Amino acid sequence: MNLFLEYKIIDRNDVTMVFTLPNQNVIVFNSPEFIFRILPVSVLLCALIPKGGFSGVLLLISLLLYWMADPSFIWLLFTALLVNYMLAWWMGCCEGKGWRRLFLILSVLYDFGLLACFKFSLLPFWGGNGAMPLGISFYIFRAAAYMADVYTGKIRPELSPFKLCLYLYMFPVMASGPITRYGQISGQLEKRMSLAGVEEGLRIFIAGLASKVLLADRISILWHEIQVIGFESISTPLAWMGAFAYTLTLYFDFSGYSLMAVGVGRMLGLTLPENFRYPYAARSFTRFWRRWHITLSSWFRDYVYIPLGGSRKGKVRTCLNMLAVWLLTGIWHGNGWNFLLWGLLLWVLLTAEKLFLYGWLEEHGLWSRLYMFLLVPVTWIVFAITDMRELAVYFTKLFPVFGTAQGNVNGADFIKYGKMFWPLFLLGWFFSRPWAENWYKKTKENPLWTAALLAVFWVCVYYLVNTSGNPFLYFSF
Amino acid sequence: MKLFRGCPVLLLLLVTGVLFSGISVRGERSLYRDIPASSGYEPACAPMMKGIHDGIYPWSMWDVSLVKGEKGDALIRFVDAAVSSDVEFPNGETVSGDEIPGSESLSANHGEGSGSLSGNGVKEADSLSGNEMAGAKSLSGNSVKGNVVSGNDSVSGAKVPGGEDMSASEEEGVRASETPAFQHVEEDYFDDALFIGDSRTVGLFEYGHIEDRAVFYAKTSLMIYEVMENPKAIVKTDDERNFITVEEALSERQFGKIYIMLGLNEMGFGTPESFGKAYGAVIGRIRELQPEAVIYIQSIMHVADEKNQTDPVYNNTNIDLRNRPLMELADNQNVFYLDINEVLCDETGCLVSDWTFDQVHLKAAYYQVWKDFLLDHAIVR
Repeated sequence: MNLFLEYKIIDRNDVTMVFTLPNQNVIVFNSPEFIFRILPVSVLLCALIPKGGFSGVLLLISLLLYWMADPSFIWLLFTALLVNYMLAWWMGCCEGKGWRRLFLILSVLYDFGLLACFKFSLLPFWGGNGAMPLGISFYIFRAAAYMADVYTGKIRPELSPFKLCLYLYMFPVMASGPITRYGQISGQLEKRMSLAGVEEGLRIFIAGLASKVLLADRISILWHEIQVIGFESISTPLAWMGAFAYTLTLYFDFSGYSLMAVGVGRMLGLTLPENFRYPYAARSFTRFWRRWHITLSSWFRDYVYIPLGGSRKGKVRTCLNMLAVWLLTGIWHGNGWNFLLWGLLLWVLLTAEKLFLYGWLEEHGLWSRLYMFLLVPVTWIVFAITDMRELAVYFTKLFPVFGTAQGNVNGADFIKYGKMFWPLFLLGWFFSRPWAENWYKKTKENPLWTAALLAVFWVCVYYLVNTSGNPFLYFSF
Repeated sequence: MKLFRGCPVLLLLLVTGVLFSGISVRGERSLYRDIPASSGYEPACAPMMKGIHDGIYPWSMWDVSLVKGEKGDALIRFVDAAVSSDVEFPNGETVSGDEIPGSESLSANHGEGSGSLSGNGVKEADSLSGNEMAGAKSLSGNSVKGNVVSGNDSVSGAKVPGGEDMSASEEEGVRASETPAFQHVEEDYFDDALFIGDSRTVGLFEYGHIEDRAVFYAKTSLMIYEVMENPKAIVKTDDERNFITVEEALSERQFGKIYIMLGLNEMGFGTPESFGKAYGAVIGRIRELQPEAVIYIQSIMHVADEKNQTDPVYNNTNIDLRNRPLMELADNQNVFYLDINEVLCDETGCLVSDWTFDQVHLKAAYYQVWKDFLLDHAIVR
């Protein structure tokens, strides 16, 4: 379980964690430590340092934060850097295609071997307790993208190990992406900070923070409650509410986090790629996956799908290439069987769209919306429930035609939770469409936005302080 | 001004940040003195934010009476008082902490209430105080430093030192009348029952299938310190328009049996002694208002293994420390202690891990076990 969950697992610790090392909160954007200490100090340091020292300071801060968050695996950063730096360098020196390919294969073996070791706990003395090194799924993907781009000649190998190190490990993208490409970053390592940039970054950061704290964390309570009740004892309407709640939680959690990363980057004068473009407004899975976790899906497109031949080698081959992409995507998200099933399910849907459904969906607005409205939560349920037996139980609740599991159902449960959560569902629906952003772009100068952002920020702080900082209020039974 | 136009959010954020931190620092010793600091890092403005959560607003800074502690948040004041030795009860009377918790302090507390206690016979009051004496002894003695702290010994309920003390006091013949025995009853037993509790009791309400029979005064995060007078959404009036306190509700309607389970949310507040004392006061008040009712004190339900091992506060060792004073509140005539952990826990004394997701609450399917236990442990008279 990683991706967004990589930092979610971290989240739980802040209840008992004292400010001692290791403290992963230093890298978690929605922790008070990050908002009130790390962020202002880093921005100030980077602003004060003369032009020449900017990238050095940014690199130092990043490595320091990594060390504070996860000291036991810091050596992995340096070995991964060294291996990829050397192999890319040699690749640049060689003209022969055979040698270049050899170096590429070696880097793939090293990078993905390392990732597999941790993901599947292959080495008991490392991953024995299931702990993944902080951000490993992300920096390995950044490294692999770099190697592939050097191999194809898209970029020249970076001769400065410091620059490569900064690309791989800069703290705005450290914990959960976005998965940047070297070509996007290499031109930005000079100091380009400005007061306007800090202001803009701050606004983006606040929007992301609100998405995470005021929407994701609130809506996730329903999904939590459903698990407390036990899947065997929920009514069908509640099962669907749970699926929608998880759908919204996942989106606001991860897109909020990505937005915060973009905001932090902007404050430091970096332009980081957008990771979400209102995927829930999409009307087919094909479009959905171009708008959801964009840097990951484009990574798979550029480095798996297209090298395998993409859609240029006939229908059968296209389907098989897509299968490879979606099985790998499933595995990347976690090592449970449900992730494979999830990948397969998406493959079936996307293949069907590719073969015949897509055109029909494009023409039928209402039906395509209904199709997405019902199927997106179903795919996320397969993603969410890692225990296959429990997953089966949940499906009997979603679709009671299969007969339902033995449980203790309170038939009125959905009324209780409906009353509690309908405002959040409404807000979630509204903010998963581009309306608010479009409105903001039109009326940016209006001082009401300033007031709103300020208020939203302090409301977020209110929630952060009162839920995670204080164990007695967090645990109200 | 040009600067402000360029980055208004940044500037206003800095200004408000300084302002809120200033308020927090200024109020540290007055307005926010009762607000606990968290163990982790928190921003300088945290006290103000927590204050707002507890209903203490920054502008109260200039309200002299609040700062001096004459009014303010009842819960915090009450917990504070419970931790120190003097407990101030809602009706304004005060019990000195020097007294032994239990019947004596109860009767001291409620001047008129002592009538209702002694109304059931002098012997009973004796047995109570005898019981309490023994209890107090065991509390001050081995229980705190001894085996209760060290492990799971005390899980088995009746076998703990407190239980022995109780049976010892019985053997001494303090109690003349026989202790009624638990027996099995049918569900209609709950027809005149009342359940008071926190979210776990809310779960029993939702999944026990007795909501049409029994009455529930239950609310998530309810605490013993506030249960009687908390006006927040516990008991609705008959016309469903307004809320009344549990105390008011108990004065208006009589119940045959009253089941209470509280204590988990209180773990962060006070000590086992102050908790027991506050619990005893509530039991005393309920007895006064409901002289005919059988009162069941249900043990605080344990948490599951993972939480037990990782949580520094909400673990079974601490729960047992707080269950001990509850056992001693039972007089086995009108007030009974039910150790529901007997049926809900595995051999290590932890809540069965398959029966819970969050380590604290039963999954819906297992409330039946709890209900069956209550049906098997009923007093009929």
